[in-house]
Amino acid sequence: MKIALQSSGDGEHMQFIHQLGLAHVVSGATPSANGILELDDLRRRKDFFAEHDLVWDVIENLPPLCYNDAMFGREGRDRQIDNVCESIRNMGEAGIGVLQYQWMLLGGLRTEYSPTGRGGARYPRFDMEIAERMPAACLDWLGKGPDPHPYPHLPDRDMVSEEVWSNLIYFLERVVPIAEEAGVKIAAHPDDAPVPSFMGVARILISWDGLQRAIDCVPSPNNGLGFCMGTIGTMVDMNVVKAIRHFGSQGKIFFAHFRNPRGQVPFFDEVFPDEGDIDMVEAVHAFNDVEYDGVIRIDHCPGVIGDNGHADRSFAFQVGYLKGLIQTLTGTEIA
Amino acid sequence: MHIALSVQFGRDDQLIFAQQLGVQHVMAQVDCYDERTLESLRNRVQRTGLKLAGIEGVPLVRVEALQAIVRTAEAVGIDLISCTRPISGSHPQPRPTGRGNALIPTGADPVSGLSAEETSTVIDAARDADLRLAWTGSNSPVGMGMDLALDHLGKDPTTKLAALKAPVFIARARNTRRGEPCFLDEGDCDLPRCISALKAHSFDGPLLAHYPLGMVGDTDWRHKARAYDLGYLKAVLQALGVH
Repeated sequence: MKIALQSSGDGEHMQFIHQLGLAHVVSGATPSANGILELDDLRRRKDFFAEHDLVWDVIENLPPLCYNDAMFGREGRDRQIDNVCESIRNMGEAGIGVLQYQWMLLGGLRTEYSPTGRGGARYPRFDMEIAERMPAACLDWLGKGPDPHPYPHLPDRDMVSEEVWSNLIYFLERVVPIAEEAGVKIAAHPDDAPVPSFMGVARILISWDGLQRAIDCVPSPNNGLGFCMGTIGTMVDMNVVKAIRHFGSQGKIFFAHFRNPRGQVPFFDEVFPDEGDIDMVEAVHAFNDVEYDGVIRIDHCPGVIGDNGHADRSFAFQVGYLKGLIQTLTGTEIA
Repeated sequence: MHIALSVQFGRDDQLIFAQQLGVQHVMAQVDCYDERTLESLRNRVQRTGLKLAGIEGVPLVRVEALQAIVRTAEAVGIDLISCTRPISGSHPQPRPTGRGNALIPTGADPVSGLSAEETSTVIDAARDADLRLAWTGSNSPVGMGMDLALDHLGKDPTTKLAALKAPVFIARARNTRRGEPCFLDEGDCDLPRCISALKAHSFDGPLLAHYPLGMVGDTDWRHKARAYDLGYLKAVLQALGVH
Protein backbone atom coordinates (compact mmCIF):
# COMPACT_ATOMS: atom_id res chain seq x y z
CA MET A 1 0.00 0.00 0.00
CA LYS A 2 1.44 3.35 -1.07
CA ILE A 3 0.17 6.44 0.70
CA ALA A 4 -0.20 9.50 -1.51
CA LEU A 5 -1.45 13.02 -1.42
CA GLN A 6 -2.86 14.99 -4.30
CA SER A 7 -0.35 17.47 -5.68
CA SER A 8 -0.67 20.36 -8.07
CA GLY A 9 3.10 20.59 -8.35
CA ASP A 10 3.43 23.49 -5.93
CA GLY A 11 7.00 23.48 -4.60
CA GLU A 12 6.27 24.07 -0.95
CA HIS A 13 3.53 21.48 -0.97
CA MET A 14 5.83 18.91 -2.54
CA GLN A 15 8.36 19.54 0.23
CA PHE A 16 5.55 19.04 2.73
CA ILE A 17 4.78 15.69 1.08
CA HIS A 18 8.43 14.69 1.43
CA GLN A 19 8.47 15.68 5.06
CA LEU A 20 5.46 13.48 5.67
CA GLY A 21 7.57 10.65 4.32
CA LEU A 22 5.57 10.05 1.16
CA ALA A 23 7.00 9.19 -2.23
CA HIS A 24 3.81 9.05 -4.30
CA VAL A 25 1.45 11.69 -5.61
CA VAL A 26 -1.83 11.74 -7.41
CA SER A 27 -2.60 14.52 -9.83
CA GLY A 28 -5.10 15.63 -12.38
CA ALA A 29 -4.12 16.43 -15.95
CA THR A 30 -5.22 19.20 -18.26
CA PRO A 31 -6.51 18.17 -21.67
CA SER A 32 -5.62 20.00 -24.84
CA ALA A 33 -8.25 22.04 -26.64
CA ASN A 34 -9.46 18.94 -28.46
CA GLY A 35 -9.98 17.08 -25.19
CA ILE A 36 -6.93 14.81 -25.24
CA LEU A 37 -4.36 14.27 -22.50
CA GLU A 38 -1.36 14.81 -24.72
CA LEU A 39 1.69 12.60 -24.45
CA ASP A 40 4.17 15.48 -24.21
CA ASP A 41 2.18 17.09 -21.39
CA LEU A 42 1.95 13.85 -19.46
CA ARG A 43 5.65 13.10 -19.85
CA ARG A 44 6.60 16.61 -18.86
CA ARG A 45 4.50 16.43 -15.72
CA LYS A 46 5.67 12.96 -14.79
CA ASP A 47 9.29 14.05 -15.25
CA PHE A 48 8.62 17.13 -13.17
CA PHE A 49 7.43 15.01 -10.26
CA ALA A 50 10.30 12.57 -10.77
CA GLU A 51 12.78 15.45 -10.54
CA HIS A 52 11.29 16.08 -7.12
CA ASP A 53 11.64 12.40 -6.18
CA LEU A 54 7.92 11.81 -6.37
CA VAL A 55 6.15 9.11 -8.36
CA TRP A 56 2.98 10.10 -10.19
CA ASP A 57 0.93 6.91 -10.23
CA VAL A 58 -2.65 7.95 -10.83
CA ILE A 59 -4.52 10.53 -12.87
CA GLU A 60 -7.40 11.72 -10.79
CA ASN A 61 -9.71 12.32 -12.47
CA LEU A 62 -10.28 12.10 -16.16
CA PRO A 63 -11.69 15.62 -16.66
CA PRO A 64 -15.48 15.28 -17.12
CA LEU A 65 -15.30 17.75 -20.02
CA CYS A 66 -13.51 14.99 -21.93
CA TYR A 67 -16.49 12.63 -21.77
CA ASN A 68 -19.60 14.48 -20.63
CA ASP A 69 -21.43 13.75 -23.89
CA ALA A 70 -20.71 10.07 -23.31
CA MET A 71 -22.14 10.24 -19.80
CA PHE A 72 -25.34 11.86 -21.03
CA GLY A 73 -25.49 9.82 -24.24
CA ARG A 74 -25.45 12.93 -26.36
CA GLU A 75 -24.40 13.49 -29.91
CA GLY A 76 -20.65 13.77 -30.04
CA ARG A 77 -19.94 10.97 -27.61
CA ASP A 78 -18.07 8.84 -30.17
CA ARG A 79 -15.65 11.66 -30.84
CA GLN A 80 -15.12 12.09 -27.12
CA ILE A 81 -14.60 8.36 -26.62
CA ASP A 82 -12.01 8.34 -29.40
CA ASN A 83 -10.21 11.13 -27.57
CA VAL A 84 -10.38 9.27 -24.26
CA CYS A 85 -8.86 6.26 -25.99
CA GLU A 86 -6.08 8.46 -27.32
CA SER A 87 -5.51 9.83 -23.82
CA ILE A 88 -5.26 6.31 -22.42
CA ARG A 89 -2.73 5.34 -25.06
CA ASN A 90 -0.71 8.41 -24.10
CA MET A 91 -0.89 7.47 -20.43
CA GLY A 92 0.48 4.04 -21.27
CA GLU A 93 3.31 5.62 -23.23
CA ALA A 94 4.06 7.96 -20.35
CA GLY A 95 4.02 5.16 -17.80
CA ILE A 96 1.06 6.34 -15.75
CA GLY A 97 -0.82 3.20 -14.85
CA VAL A 98 -4.18 4.21 -13.39
CA LEU A 99 -6.90 6.52 -14.66
CA GLN A 100 -9.72 7.25 -12.28
CA TYR A 101 -12.98 8.51 -13.71
CA GLN A 102 -16.43 9.02 -12.29
CA TRP A 103 -19.86 8.52 -13.76
CA MET A 104 -21.71 11.09 -11.68
CA LEU A 105 -23.84 12.90 -14.19
CA LEU A 106 -24.43 15.82 -11.88
CA GLY A 107 -21.15 15.66 -9.98
CA GLY A 108 -20.58 15.51 -6.24
CA LEU A 109 -23.18 16.57 -3.69
CA ARG A 110 -22.76 18.23 -0.29
CA THR A 111 -25.15 20.41 1.64
CA GLU A 112 -23.03 21.98 4.40
CA TYR A 113 -19.53 22.77 5.53
CA SER A 114 -20.19 23.90 9.05
CA PRO A 115 -18.36 23.95 12.41
CA THR A 116 -20.42 21.07 13.73
CA GLY A 117 -17.53 18.74 14.40
CA ARG A 118 -15.19 17.88 17.23
CA GLY A 119 -13.97 21.13 18.79
CA GLY A 120 -15.84 23.07 16.14
CA ALA A 121 -13.99 21.47 13.25
CA ARG A 122 -15.75 21.98 9.93
CA TYR A 123 -17.28 18.79 8.63
CA PRO A 124 -18.57 18.44 5.08
CA ARG A 125 -22.11 17.13 5.36
CA PHE A 126 -24.79 15.66 3.16
CA ASP A 127 -28.39 15.88 4.30
CA MET A 128 -30.96 14.52 1.86
CA GLU A 129 -33.71 16.60 3.38
CA ILE A 130 -31.82 19.79 2.54
CA ALA A 131 -30.79 18.43 -0.84
CA GLU A 132 -34.41 17.85 -1.76
CA ARG A 133 -35.44 21.25 -0.51
CA MET A 134 -32.63 23.18 -2.24
CA PRO A 135 -31.23 20.82 -4.87
CA ALA A 136 -29.22 23.24 -6.99
CA ALA A 137 -27.43 24.56 -3.90
CA CYS A 138 -25.78 21.25 -3.14
CA LEU A 139 -24.26 20.70 -6.57
CA ASP A 140 -20.63 21.22 -5.73
CA TRP A 141 -19.79 22.55 -9.20
CA LEU A 142 -22.51 25.15 -9.59
CA GLY A 143 -21.01 28.60 -9.44
CA LYS A 144 -17.42 27.40 -9.47
CA GLY A 145 -15.12 25.15 -11.42
CA PRO A 146 -13.82 25.37 -14.96
CA ASP A 147 -15.33 27.31 -17.78
CA PRO A 148 -16.85 25.88 -19.90
CA HIS A 149 -18.27 23.56 -17.32
CA PRO A 150 -18.81 19.85 -17.99
CA TYR A 151 -22.41 20.18 -16.95
CA PRO A 152 -23.53 23.26 -18.84
CA HIS A 153 -27.01 23.36 -17.40
CA LEU A 154 -29.31 21.69 -14.92
CA PRO A 155 -30.99 18.57 -16.29
CA ASP A 156 -33.97 19.28 -18.55
CA ARG A 157 -35.27 15.72 -18.54
CA ASP A 158 -35.28 12.64 -16.36
CA MET A 159 -32.75 9.88 -16.89
CA VAL A 160 -33.53 6.46 -15.46
CA SER A 161 -30.96 4.06 -14.12
CA GLU A 162 -30.85 1.78 -17.17
CA GLU A 163 -30.19 4.70 -19.48
CA VAL A 164 -27.23 5.76 -17.36
CA TRP A 165 -25.99 2.16 -17.26
CA SER A 166 -26.37 1.89 -21.00
CA ASN A 167 -24.22 4.96 -21.48
CA LEU A 168 -21.54 3.64 -19.13
CA ILE A 169 -21.44 0.24 -20.81
CA TYR A 170 -21.23 1.87 -24.25
CA PHE A 171 -18.25 3.86 -22.97
CA LEU A 172 -16.48 0.94 -21.30
CA GLU A 173 -16.94 -1.40 -24.27
CA ARG A 174 -14.89 1.01 -26.35
CA VAL A 175 -12.41 2.23 -23.78
CA VAL A 176 -11.49 -0.93 -21.89
CA PRO A 177 -9.89 -2.78 -24.86
CA ILE A 178 -7.67 0.24 -25.44
CA ALA A 179 -6.77 0.31 -21.74
CA GLU A 180 -5.75 -3.35 -21.97
CA GLU A 181 -3.49 -2.62 -24.93
CA ALA A 182 -1.99 0.41 -23.19
CA GLY A 183 -1.47 -1.30 -19.83
CA VAL A 184 -3.63 1.27 -18.08
CA LYS A 185 -6.17 0.40 -15.42
CA ILE A 186 -9.33 2.43 -15.41
CA ALA A 187 -10.95 2.92 -12.06
CA ALA A 188 -14.56 3.98 -11.53
CA HIS A 189 -15.17 6.26 -8.57
CA PRO A 190 -18.60 5.67 -7.00
CA ASP A 191 -21.32 8.29 -6.90
CA ASP A 192 -20.79 10.73 -4.06
CA ALA A 193 -23.26 11.16 -2.42
CA PRO A 194 -24.57 7.69 -3.23
CA VAL A 195 -28.24 8.53 -3.64
CA PRO A 196 -30.39 6.69 -6.21
CA SER A 197 -31.23 9.79 -8.20
CA PHE A 198 -30.90 13.51 -8.03
CA MET A 199 -32.96 16.12 -9.84
CA GLY A 200 -34.50 13.29 -11.85
CA VAL A 201 -31.16 11.89 -13.00
CA ALA A 202 -30.24 8.39 -11.82
CA ARG A 203 -26.99 7.65 -10.02
CA ILE A 204 -25.81 4.10 -10.55
CA LEU A 205 -22.61 3.41 -8.59
CA ILE A 206 -24.34 3.64 -5.24
CA SER A 207 -24.38 0.10 -3.89
CA TRP A 208 -22.50 -3.17 -3.61
CA ASP A 209 -24.39 -4.53 -6.62
CA GLY A 210 -23.75 -1.40 -8.61
CA LEU A 211 -20.00 -1.59 -8.03
CA GLN A 212 -19.96 -5.26 -8.97
CA ARG A 213 -21.97 -4.57 -12.11
CA ALA A 214 -19.51 -1.87 -13.18
CA ILE A 215 -16.79 -4.49 -12.98
CA ASP A 216 -18.73 -7.29 -14.62
CA CYS A 217 -20.42 -5.37 -17.42
CA VAL A 218 -17.18 -5.29 -19.38
CA PRO A 219 -14.97 -7.99 -17.86
CA SER A 220 -11.30 -7.15 -18.04
CA PRO A 221 -8.27 -7.09 -15.76
CA ASN A 222 -8.10 -3.39 -16.59
CA ASN A 223 -11.64 -2.51 -15.54
CA GLY A 224 -12.08 -1.88 -11.84
CA LEU A 225 -12.74 0.55 -9.04
CA GLY A 226 -11.47 3.71 -7.52
CA PHE A 227 -12.34 2.51 -4.05
CA CYS A 228 -13.36 5.63 -2.18
CA MET A 229 -13.77 4.46 1.41
CA GLY A 230 -15.70 7.57 2.29
CA THR A 231 -18.23 7.30 -0.50
CA ILE A 232 -18.64 3.55 -0.19
CA GLY A 233 -19.00 3.91 3.55
CA THR A 234 -21.99 6.17 3.08
CA MET A 235 -23.88 3.71 0.88
CA VAL A 236 -26.98 2.32 2.54
CA ASP A 237 -26.21 -0.75 4.70
CA MET A 238 -22.64 -0.94 3.39
CA ASN A 239 -19.83 -2.56 5.38
CA VAL A 240 -16.58 -1.11 4.03
CA VAL A 241 -14.31 -3.76 5.51
CA LYS A 242 -16.32 -6.51 3.84
CA ALA A 243 -16.27 -4.51 0.61
CA ILE A 244 -12.47 -4.21 0.71
CA ARG A 245 -12.22 -7.96 1.14
CA HIS A 246 -14.80 -8.66 -1.58
CA PHE A 247 -13.53 -6.33 -4.30
CA GLY A 248 -9.90 -6.50 -3.23
CA SER A 249 -9.80 -10.28 -3.42
CA GLN A 250 -10.99 -9.96 -7.03
CA GLY A 251 -8.05 -7.64 -7.71
CA LYS A 252 -10.50 -4.89 -8.58
CA ILE A 253 -9.30 -2.13 -6.30
CA PHE A 254 -7.03 -0.12 -8.55
CA PHE A 255 -6.83 2.96 -6.39
CA ALA A 256 -8.25 3.92 -3.00
CA HIS A 257 -9.28 6.98 -1.05
CA PHE A 258 -8.73 7.04 2.70
CA ARG A 259 -11.64 8.72 4.45
CA ASN A 260 -14.00 7.91 7.29
CA PRO A 261 -17.60 9.14 7.32
CA ARG A 262 -20.17 9.03 10.08
CA GLY A 263 -23.64 8.08 8.93
CA GLN A 264 -24.97 6.83 5.64
CA VAL A 265 -27.38 8.14 3.05
CA PRO A 266 -29.63 10.03 3.66
CA PHE A 267 -27.42 11.86 6.19
CA PHE A 268 -23.70 11.76 6.80
CA ASP A 269 -20.70 13.82 7.89
CA GLU A 270 -17.10 13.50 6.77
CA VAL A 271 -15.24 13.24 10.09
CA PHE A 272 -11.70 12.62 11.27
CA PRO A 273 -10.45 9.12 10.49
CA ASP A 274 -10.33 8.03 14.12
CA GLU A 275 -13.97 8.80 14.88
CA GLY A 276 -16.04 7.64 11.92
CA ASP A 277 -18.17 4.55 11.45
CA ILE A 278 -15.59 2.56 9.50
CA ASP A 279 -13.39 0.38 11.68
CA MET A 280 -10.11 1.69 10.25
CA VAL A 281 -8.04 -0.89 12.08
CA GLU A 282 -9.99 -3.67 10.40
CA ALA A 283 -9.91 -1.79 7.10
CA VAL A 284 -6.10 -1.73 7.12
CA HIS A 285 -6.11 -5.43 8.03
CA ALA A 286 -8.41 -6.05 5.06
CA PHE A 287 -6.23 -4.11 2.62
CA ASN A 288 -3.25 -6.02 3.90
CA ASP A 289 -4.98 -9.40 3.67
CA VAL A 290 -6.03 -8.86 0.04
CA GLU A 291 -2.44 -7.74 -0.66
CA TYR A 292 -3.49 -4.38 -2.00
CA ASP A 293 -0.33 -2.80 -3.36
CA GLY A 294 -1.78 0.24 -5.10
CA VAL A 295 -2.01 3.84 -4.08
CA ILE A 296 -4.23 5.00 -1.23
CA ARG A 297 -4.75 8.72 -1.29
CA ILE A 298 -5.67 10.69 1.79
CA ASP A 299 -9.03 12.16 0.88
CA HIS A 300 -10.69 15.44 1.74
CA CYS A 301 -10.87 16.03 5.42
CA PRO A 302 -12.38 18.20 8.14
CA GLY A 303 -11.40 21.84 8.48
CA VAL A 304 -9.00 22.52 11.37
CA ILE A 305 -8.50 25.86 13.11
CA GLY A 306 -5.98 28.13 11.40
CA ASP A 307 -5.30 25.74 8.56
CA ASN A 308 -4.05 26.89 5.16
CA GLY A 309 -5.59 26.48 1.72
CA HIS A 310 -4.07 23.03 1.28
CA ALA A 311 -5.48 21.97 4.69
CA ASP A 312 -1.96 20.85 5.63
CA ARG A 313 -2.74 20.39 9.32
CA SER A 314 -5.71 18.19 8.63
CA PHE A 315 -3.85 16.15 6.01
CA ALA A 316 -0.80 15.82 8.28
CA PHE A 317 -3.05 14.35 10.96
CA GLN A 318 -4.52 11.86 8.51
CA VAL A 319 -1.18 10.82 7.03
CA GLY A 320 0.21 10.32 10.54
CA TYR A 321 -2.88 8.32 11.41
CA LEU A 322 -2.66 5.97 8.44
CA LYS A 323 1.08 5.50 8.94
CA GLY A 324 0.54 4.73 12.61
CA LEU A 325 -2.06 2.11 11.73
CA ILE A 326 0.06 0.45 9.09
CA GLN A 327 3.19 0.38 11.21
CA THR A 328 1.39 -0.97 14.25
CA LEU A 329 -0.62 -3.58 12.40
CA THR A 330 1.90 -4.75 9.85
CA GLY A 331 5.25 -3.62 11.22
CA THR A 332 6.24 -2.25 7.86
CA GLU A 333 7.80 0.98 6.73
CA ILE A 334 5.71 3.04 4.36
CA ALA A 335 6.72 5.38 1.60
CA MET B 1 -2.81 5.83 28.95
CA HIS B 2 -4.16 8.86 27.17
CA ILE B 3 -2.72 11.18 24.57
CA ALA B 4 -1.98 14.68 25.81
CA LEU B 5 -0.86 17.72 23.89
CA SER B 6 1.69 20.21 25.17
CA VAL B 7 0.15 23.68 25.09
CA GLN B 8 1.21 27.17 26.06
CA PHE B 9 -0.78 29.07 28.65
CA GLY B 10 -2.67 31.93 27.03
CA ARG B 11 -2.84 30.29 23.60
CA ASP B 12 -6.41 29.10 23.82
CA ASP B 13 -6.47 28.36 20.11
CA GLN B 14 -4.13 25.50 20.96
CA LEU B 15 -6.84 24.07 23.19
CA ILE B 16 -9.29 24.12 20.29
CA PHE B 17 -6.66 22.56 18.05
CA ALA B 18 -6.21 19.78 20.62
CA GLN B 19 -9.93 19.18 20.85
CA GLN B 20 -10.41 19.11 17.09
CA LEU B 21 -7.71 16.50 16.73
CA GLY B 22 -9.38 14.33 19.32
CA VAL B 23 -7.16 15.00 22.32
CA GLN B 24 -8.85 15.27 25.70
CA HIS B 25 -5.83 16.04 27.92
CA VAL B 26 -3.24 18.79 27.79
CA MET B 27 0.04 19.46 29.58
CA ALA B 28 0.61 23.17 29.92
CA GLN B 29 3.65 25.38 30.01
CA VAL B 30 3.35 28.58 32.00
CA ASP B 31 5.75 31.43 32.59
CA CYS B 32 4.44 32.29 36.02
CA TYR B 33 3.41 29.96 38.81
CA ASP B 34 1.30 32.15 41.04
CA GLU B 35 -2.13 30.97 42.11
CA ARG B 36 -3.99 33.33 39.83
CA THR B 37 -2.16 32.07 36.76
CA LEU B 38 -2.56 28.41 37.59
CA GLU B 39 -6.23 28.90 38.43
CA SER B 40 -6.75 30.70 35.17
CA LEU B 41 -5.00 27.89 33.34
CA ARG B 42 -7.11 25.23 35.02
CA ASN B 43 -10.35 27.08 34.33
CA ARG B 44 -9.59 27.82 30.71
CA VAL B 45 -8.70 24.22 30.03
CA GLN B 46 -11.79 22.92 31.80
CA ARG B 47 -14.13 25.36 30.10
CA THR B 48 -12.89 24.18 26.73
CA GLY B 49 -14.03 20.73 27.77
CA LEU B 50 -10.51 19.37 28.21
CA LYS B 51 -8.62 17.93 31.16
CA LEU B 52 -5.44 19.42 32.56
CA ALA B 53 -3.03 16.52 32.89
CA GLY B 54 -0.40 18.67 34.57
CA ILE B 55 2.17 21.37 34.01
CA GLU B 56 5.56 20.89 32.42
CA GLY B 57 8.82 22.67 31.98
CA VAL B 58 8.94 23.69 35.64
CA PRO B 59 12.52 24.76 36.35
CA LEU B 60 14.50 22.82 38.92
CA VAL B 61 16.64 25.68 40.15
CA ARG B 62 15.60 27.08 43.52
CA VAL B 63 14.25 24.91 46.24
CA GLU B 64 12.09 27.60 47.82
CA ALA B 65 10.49 28.44 44.49
CA LEU B 66 9.77 24.82 43.79
CA GLN B 67 8.18 24.32 47.17
CA ALA B 68 5.95 27.31 46.47
CA ILE B 69 4.97 25.93 43.08
CA VAL B 70 4.07 22.61 44.66
CA ARG B 71 1.87 24.33 47.25
CA THR B 72 0.15 26.47 44.63
CA ALA B 73 -0.40 23.54 42.33
CA GLU B 74 -1.98 21.61 45.16
CA ALA B 75 -4.24 24.55 45.96
CA VAL B 76 -5.64 24.68 42.42
CA GLY B 77 -5.88 20.92 42.00
CA ILE B 78 -2.94 20.23 39.70
CA ASP B 79 -1.42 16.90 40.65
CA LEU B 80 1.35 16.33 38.12
CA ILE B 81 4.42 18.48 37.53
CA SER B 82 7.16 17.75 35.05
CA CYS B 83 10.43 19.40 36.07
CA THR B 84 13.32 20.40 33.93
CA ARG B 85 16.37 22.57 34.00
CA PRO B 86 15.79 25.65 31.87
CA ILE B 87 18.12 26.13 28.95
CA SER B 88 20.25 29.15 29.62
CA GLY B 89 21.75 31.42 27.01
CA SER B 90 20.90 31.17 23.34
CA HIS B 91 19.08 28.13 21.98
CA PRO B 92 20.99 26.12 19.44
CA GLN B 93 19.61 26.76 15.98
CA PRO B 94 17.60 23.86 14.55
CA ARG B 95 19.17 22.36 11.46
CA PRO B 96 17.35 21.48 8.20
CA THR B 97 18.72 17.98 8.10
CA GLY B 98 15.51 16.02 8.66
CA ARG B 99 13.36 14.25 6.09
CA GLY B 100 12.46 16.71 3.33
CA ASN B 101 14.79 19.23 5.00
CA ALA B 102 12.63 19.33 8.09
CA LEU B 103 14.19 21.30 10.92
CA ILE B 104 15.45 19.12 13.72
CA PRO B 105 16.09 20.47 17.19
CA THR B 106 19.33 20.17 19.07
CA GLY B 107 19.84 19.82 22.79
CA ALA B 108 20.62 17.39 25.55
CA ASP B 109 18.86 15.85 28.51
CA PRO B 110 18.63 18.32 31.35
CA VAL B 111 20.46 17.90 34.59
CA SER B 112 19.21 18.97 37.99
CA GLY B 113 20.17 22.36 39.30
CA LEU B 114 19.50 21.20 42.83
CA SER B 115 21.61 19.34 45.29
CA ALA B 116 20.48 15.93 46.50
CA GLU B 117 19.39 17.48 49.78
CA GLU B 118 17.37 20.21 48.07
CA THR B 119 15.77 17.70 45.76
CA SER B 120 14.76 15.63 48.72
CA THR B 121 13.12 18.65 50.32
CA VAL B 122 11.05 19.27 47.20
CA ILE B 123 10.08 15.63 46.96
CA ASP B 124 8.88 15.70 50.55
CA ALA B 125 6.78 18.76 49.83
CA ALA B 126 5.25 17.04 46.82
CA ARG B 127 4.50 13.94 48.84
CA ASP B 128 2.77 16.02 51.48
CA ALA B 129 0.70 17.64 48.76
CA ASP B 130 -0.17 14.27 47.20
CA LEU B 131 1.37 15.56 44.00
CA ARG B 132 3.51 13.68 41.50
CA LEU B 133 6.81 15.13 40.36
CA ALA B 134 8.29 13.83 37.15
CA TRP B 135 11.86 14.27 36.05
CA THR B 136 12.66 14.64 32.36
CA GLY B 137 16.13 13.13 32.41
CA SER B 138 16.98 9.48 32.13
CA ASN B 139 18.16 9.28 35.76
CA SER B 140 15.40 10.57 37.96
CA PRO B 141 16.24 11.46 41.54
CA VAL B 142 15.03 8.92 44.07
CA GLY B 143 11.45 9.66 45.03
CA MET B 144 10.48 11.26 41.76
CA GLY B 145 8.76 9.65 38.83
CA MET B 146 9.90 9.68 35.25
CA ASP B 147 8.99 11.85 32.34
CA LEU B 148 10.23 9.16 30.01
CA ALA B 149 11.31 9.59 26.41
CA LEU B 150 10.37 6.34 24.74
CA ASP B 151 13.47 6.11 22.57
CA HIS B 152 15.33 5.41 25.80
CA LEU B 153 13.61 2.04 25.95
CA GLY B 154 15.79 0.63 23.20
CA LYS B 155 15.22 -2.66 21.44
CA ASP B 156 13.63 -4.45 24.38
CA PRO B 157 11.15 -2.03 25.91
CA THR B 158 9.41 -4.60 28.07
CA THR B 159 12.59 -5.56 29.90
CA LYS B 160 13.72 -1.96 30.12
CA LEU B 161 10.42 -0.84 31.64
CA ALA B 162 10.49 -3.65 34.17
CA ALA B 163 13.99 -2.60 35.21
CA LEU B 164 13.14 1.04 35.84
CA LYS B 165 13.68 2.10 39.43
CA ALA B 166 11.13 4.91 39.32
CA PRO B 167 7.51 4.89 38.20
CA VAL B 168 6.66 6.38 34.81
CA PHE B 169 4.42 9.41 35.24
CA ILE B 170 4.67 10.78 31.72
CA ALA B 171 5.65 9.09 28.45
CA ARG B 172 6.99 11.05 25.49
CA ALA B 173 6.97 9.57 22.04
CA ARG B 174 10.05 10.58 20.14
CA ASN B 175 12.28 8.91 17.68
CA THR B 176 15.88 9.27 16.67
CA ARG B 177 17.99 7.91 13.88
CA ARG B 178 21.65 7.50 14.74
CA GLY B 179 21.09 9.91 17.61
CA GLU B 180 19.43 12.62 15.50
CA PRO B 181 15.77 13.48 16.16
CA CYS B 182 13.43 12.44 13.37
CA PHE B 183 9.73 11.93 12.70
CA LEU B 184 7.92 9.37 14.83
CA ASP B 185 7.55 6.85 12.01
CA GLU B 186 11.11 6.72 10.76
CA GLY B 187 13.65 6.26 13.54
CA ASP B 188 15.54 3.47 15.24
CA CYS B 189 12.89 3.13 17.92
CA ASP B 190 9.89 0.88 17.26
CA LEU B 191 7.32 3.19 18.81
CA PRO B 192 4.29 0.90 18.45
CA ARG B 193 6.29 -1.75 20.30
CA CYS B 194 7.27 0.70 23.04
CA ILE B 195 3.69 1.87 23.47
CA SER B 196 2.50 -1.71 23.54
CA ALA B 197 5.03 -2.35 26.32
CA LEU B 198 3.72 0.69 28.20
CA LYS B 199 0.22 -0.75 27.94
CA ALA B 200 1.42 -4.08 29.30
CA HIS B 201 3.19 -2.14 32.06
CA SER B 202 -0.25 -0.71 33.02
CA PHE B 203 0.91 2.83 32.35
CA ASP B 204 -2.10 5.11 32.80
CA GLY B 205 -0.57 8.57 32.47
CA PRO B 206 -0.29 11.06 29.63
CA LEU B 207 1.42 10.11 26.39
CA LEU B 208 2.83 13.15 24.62
CA ALA B 209 4.67 13.66 21.41
CA HIS B 210 8.08 15.08 22.26
CA TYR B 211 9.58 17.79 20.10
CA PRO B 212 7.76 18.36 16.83
CA LEU B 213 10.03 18.84 13.85
CA GLY B 214 9.97 22.01 11.79
CA MET B 215 7.92 21.55 8.65
CA VAL B 216 7.67 23.83 5.66
CA GLY B 217 5.34 26.77 6.11
CA ASP B 218 4.56 25.81 9.69
CA THR B 219 4.05 28.10 12.67
CA ASP B 220 6.53 28.63 15.50
CA TRP B 221 4.44 26.25 17.59
CA ARG B 222 4.53 23.74 14.71
CA HIS B 223 0.90 22.93 14.20
CA LYS B 224 1.49 20.71 11.17
CA ALA B 225 4.10 18.59 12.87
CA ARG B 226 1.99 18.29 16.00
CA ALA B 227 -1.00 17.24 13.91
CA TYR B 228 1.12 14.58 12.25
CA ASP B 229 2.35 13.29 15.61
CA LEU B 230 -1.15 13.25 17.09
CA GLY B 231 -2.54 11.34 14.13
CA TYR B 232 0.25 8.81 14.44
CA LEU B 233 -0.23 8.32 18.18
CA LYS B 234 -4.02 8.09 17.89
CA ALA B 235 -3.64 5.31 15.35
CA VAL B 236 -1.13 3.39 17.42
CA LEU B 237 -3.39 3.48 20.47
CA GLN B 238 -6.44 2.47 18.44
CA ALA B 239 -4.55 -0.39 16.82
CA LEU B 240 -3.38 -1.55 20.24
CA GLY B 241 -6.90 -1.37 21.63
CA VAL B 242 -6.17 1.48 24.06
CA HIS B 243 -9.27 3.63 24.38
